[in-house]
Amino acid sequence: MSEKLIEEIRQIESVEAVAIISFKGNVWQQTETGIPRETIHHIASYLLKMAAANEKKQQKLILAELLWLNRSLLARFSNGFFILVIFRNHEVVSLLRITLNVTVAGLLEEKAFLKWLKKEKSALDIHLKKGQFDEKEVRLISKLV
Amino acid sequence: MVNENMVFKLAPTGVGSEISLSSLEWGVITQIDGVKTVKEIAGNLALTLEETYQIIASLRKKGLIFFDHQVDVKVEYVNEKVLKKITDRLMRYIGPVAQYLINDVLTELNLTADKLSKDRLPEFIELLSDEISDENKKIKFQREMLNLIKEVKK
Repeated sequence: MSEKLIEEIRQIESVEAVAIISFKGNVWQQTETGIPRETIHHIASYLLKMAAANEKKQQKLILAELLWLNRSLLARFSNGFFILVIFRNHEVVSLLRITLNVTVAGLLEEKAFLKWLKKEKSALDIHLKKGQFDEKEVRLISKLV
Repeated sequence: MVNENMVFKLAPTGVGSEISLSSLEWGVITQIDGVKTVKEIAGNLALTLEETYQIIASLRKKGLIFFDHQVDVKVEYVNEKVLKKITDRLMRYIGPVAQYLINDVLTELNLTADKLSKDRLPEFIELLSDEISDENKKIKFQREMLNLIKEVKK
């Protein structure tokens, strides 16, 4: 069923990649695209850091919209996971946001996904502890704690 | 007045004096190629049309770009039946206030009931659904509306 949900997003005009990623940073499903998997992981890692920083400030990140190399990124967060979409035409952003809301609700009704999500349970703050940070990032993180 | 279907070109020679540009102006100027419409530029840079209009007007005023031509675009509008369907569905979730809300949202988007284009339908639906406070009802409404958007696009 989640393949069908992901396909619905992928069929939206100018969508180049869709991935469902746990807070551990693992991918549940990802569309085959011209964008390398390492790049998706790299973007996911930044988004998880953003979510973790927000959580430190007692704020819940629901939606992130960013620009990336002439493309747009949309990340819809839910409990324990997020859906990442990379697309080119910003005119479809409303349709994408609606579709992502419906997709999140659909995924949370899918047993196999919920089982995977349970295994992937992870605290977000690990993303502020692992990986490499530059001086500016370290300063920003220290202000959060 | 700048509109979304206009196409601009870079001015062939320098304007003579030093000009400072904001990062957004730089962004827009890199997209000006005599081919892309204002709407496409806005889309590429994730700017709203209004923001793009302002930047284009400013670049024009500085003499850095000039109007070249306008692209004819056939706009398809949502018919009365579809709008009635949206109103009926929304009424199920928020009651008779739905009709007023629809008028409010159309005004917010600078549109009228007979000038709601198919392209702007998702934006219209999204703004309407933001007014449904119950999260489950909101998702149900959005789910129904996604099917409607697909039907309209066929």
